[in-house]
Amino acid sequence: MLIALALLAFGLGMFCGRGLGRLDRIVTSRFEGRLFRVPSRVYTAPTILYPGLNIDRAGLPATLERLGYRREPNGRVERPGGFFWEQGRLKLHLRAFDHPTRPEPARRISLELYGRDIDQILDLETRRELSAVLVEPEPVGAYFGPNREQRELVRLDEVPESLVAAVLAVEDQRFERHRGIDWRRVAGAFWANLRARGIRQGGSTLTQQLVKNFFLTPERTLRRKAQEAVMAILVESRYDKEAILEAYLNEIYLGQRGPTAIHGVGEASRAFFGKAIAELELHESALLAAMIQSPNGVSPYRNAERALERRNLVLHLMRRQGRITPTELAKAQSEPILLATEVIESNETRYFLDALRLQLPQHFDGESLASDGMRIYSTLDLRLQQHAVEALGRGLRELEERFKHLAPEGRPPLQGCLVALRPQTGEVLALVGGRSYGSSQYNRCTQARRPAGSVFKPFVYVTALDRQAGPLVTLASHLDDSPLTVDTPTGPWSPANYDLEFHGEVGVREALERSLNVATARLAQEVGIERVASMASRLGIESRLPEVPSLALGAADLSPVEIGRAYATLANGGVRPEVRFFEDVVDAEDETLEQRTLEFERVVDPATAFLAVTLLEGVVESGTARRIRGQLRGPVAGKTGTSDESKDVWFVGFTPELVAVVWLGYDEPRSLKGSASQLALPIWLRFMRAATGGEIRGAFLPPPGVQRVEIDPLTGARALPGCPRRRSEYFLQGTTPEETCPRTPWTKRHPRDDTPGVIERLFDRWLWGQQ
Amino acid sequence: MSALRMALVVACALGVCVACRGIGPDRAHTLEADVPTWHFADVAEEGDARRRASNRLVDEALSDELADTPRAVERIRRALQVDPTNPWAYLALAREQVSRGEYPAAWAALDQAEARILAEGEIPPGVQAHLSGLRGRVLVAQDNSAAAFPLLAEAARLAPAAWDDQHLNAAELR
Repeated sequence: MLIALALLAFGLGMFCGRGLGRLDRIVTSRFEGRLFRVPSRVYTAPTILYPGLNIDRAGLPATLERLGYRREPNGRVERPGGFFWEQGRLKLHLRAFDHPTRPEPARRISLELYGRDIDQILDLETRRELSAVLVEPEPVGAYFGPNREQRELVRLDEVPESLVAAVLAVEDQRFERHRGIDWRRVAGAFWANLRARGIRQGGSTLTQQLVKNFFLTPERTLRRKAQEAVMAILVESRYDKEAILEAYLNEIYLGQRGPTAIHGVGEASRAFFGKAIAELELHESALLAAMIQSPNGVSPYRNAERALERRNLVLHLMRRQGRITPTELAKAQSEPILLATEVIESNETRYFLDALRLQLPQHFDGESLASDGMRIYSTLDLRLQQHAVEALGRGLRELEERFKHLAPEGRPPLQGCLVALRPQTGEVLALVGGRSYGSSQYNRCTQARRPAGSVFKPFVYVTALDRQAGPLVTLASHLDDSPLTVDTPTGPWSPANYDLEFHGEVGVREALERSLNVATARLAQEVGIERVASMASRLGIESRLPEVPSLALGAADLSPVEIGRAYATLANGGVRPEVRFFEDVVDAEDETLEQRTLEFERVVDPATAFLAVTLLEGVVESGTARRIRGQLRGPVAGKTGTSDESKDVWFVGFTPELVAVVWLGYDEPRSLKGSASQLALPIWLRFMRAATGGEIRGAFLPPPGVQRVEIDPLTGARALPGCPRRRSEYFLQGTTPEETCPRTPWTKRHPRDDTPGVIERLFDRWLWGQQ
Repeated sequence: MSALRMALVVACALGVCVACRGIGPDRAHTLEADVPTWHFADVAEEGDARRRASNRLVDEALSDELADTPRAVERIRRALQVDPTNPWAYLALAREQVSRGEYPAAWAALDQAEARILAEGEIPPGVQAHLSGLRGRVLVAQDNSAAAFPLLAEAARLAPAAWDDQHLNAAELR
């Protein structure tokens, strides 16, 4: 009998031991591995403030609101993240920006305003004038795992004592003394529940709550409760109180921000108060602690009154437990609840985030992006992005209202894309890859390849104008727009114009301004299709280009981003930029993992690029995009594009500082029954007006090697006094027309190759005032 | 017709004058003596508010405190964020990249600087000195001495104070 009992006890011991061992392994593997998955966050480029900047045009008030800057009621901006408006002045306490190579200190500044322009920036500590200051980058999105949890990890030594005290007061007042289970509290809860004949009160310690969240399901069974208790004891026996408390504070669920779950006090501090955890004050700490029990029920955004009531309850509890003084209680209780603006992550930036992700090296896979807590500093300009979203969304809706055929019932909707980049650096400032990310994640700016149509034509003209190749034409040359048939392996090819007419002899400018197909196709034949394809590649087109005659008219499937890059090369004087979506990637330990340097390469000489730009300016001045004039002041160039049967419409336009591409079409191509200037151009214009305020800075100036000469537009000859028609035109040096009007008739299309001598040029300049 | 004839005569005389300008003692030497060394400070306060703000960030990048550190590149990037057409930011970037040994990137930045200067006018000889000198430095690093030496010689000729040692430090550019 004794032996049997002993064996039974042994067996029980073995059973319990194995169970304990299993639980212990679960506990240690979690605690000693990665405790939390922290999604990597993407940030905008920083906002830069400088004298002369208009704060409204720069969107500063909205930026401060999104970043959670708070209006300081007393006029002093002593805490980072505070601001105060005075007459003609905005005082700001900028937060520090932590970055391994480009940190910025927290600083108190005053923006002295003249109207809404910054007149002066003063450092409020030193009273010194500052040339420029940076507002920290804004988070715009994150690469989540399947559970969409967002957290900002904090170390216990960063957490203010007031928060620890508040959490312990309300959740586990004997945390420092128990070993995982608070038996007094268990007994109290048991008695309360017995009296209530149901479960009314829990007796879980903070350690038990942590165990439940980490390892167990939320079901309320005795077996799960027993497991929770055993594991809590195991956790307490293996790890110190600080480690447990830190894990708890980082794990605890504190509500929702749209579809994203807020976990941990670090994230909650940012979400609710717009500040780092270390900056929390007592009344804010009490509010966070109050929310633990019922995060959404006590959310100050949803139920401010209840939140205030619960916060004060926590403060009283803290006082009763001797964790705060009566004075602290009175002060904290008198504080109103001041919240940061609730920023719900929208889908507006998701297309950009997807494109950025594709540009990251392969080792940044989905798993590491969803768990490693990296910070990715992008090139996104949130102000431009919002304008782009607005322009495309509203533009498409308005088109559908105006042209009913664009929105037939029961068929997938009209789609579009808008991408804007900086021509000098290739930085993508805004990107909207479709009309709704929620309904389609297909990125039409980067993933789609669609027939380029006439937006390809400028590449034909650049090739023909290229100094290295001759050049074959000047801007005063005439092209033949009469019927053309080219033999191809698939049979004869005969291009037609959009208006189904032929226009005979037309000037180069007119041919591009009116987007004449036949004249352009003939020019491409003269230049050589392979050279056109090669030029397009040099300018930045990466897709494969079919070397067929119709390539000249855009019979190549290209992405909006690569077209934007090729136009950026022209806008940038022939220097091709690399397209960039991010600047650098920093890991959780503050090490830079990846950095994108500025990369560019001269691919076309500046004079040729300038001639192409001036041709494209002509499209805006008097061609298919002339409706831009009157709505934008300053240098603008661009090209409309419509593919076969109007299945795709494009507008690519640029200023000296911004290139923007708009594409519209259906995912399953069908005719839009409209032209690019009717459909794509208004969206581009809406975006550009918002982005620039209607005033374009800078100019496209002719570089050395370009001459401006008066010509007779009819013949292309140099216009002398007495010539009945004249306009000025740009020429590469050495290609000015030999013929003159009215002395000799125009007979020769090709420019002469010789450069005028010094005396000839001086004579010209003196006599006719030509440059 | 008489006016035209007179114009032709005047032009002919002018032509003779121009043709004879090159005759005489060492003209090139006279020109060089007139070329002052170009410093960034010469243009730092030029342009509109954006250009000036951008220039101040470039100036910070060229300061003793930041020059030749990663923060200098960061400052130049911010300068380009404020004004992407600022040629001096690209020039400062190229200098920084040469000193960091990032030669292909420096060459590209010089292309960009040149493109931006040309987009605003002509290249002043003092700036040409720095462009040539920095290109020369890149070519030396790429073992292309034959192409490098004429450029470095041109730099030393145009801006001897800065380029006599075939090196351009931040203070010399500033």
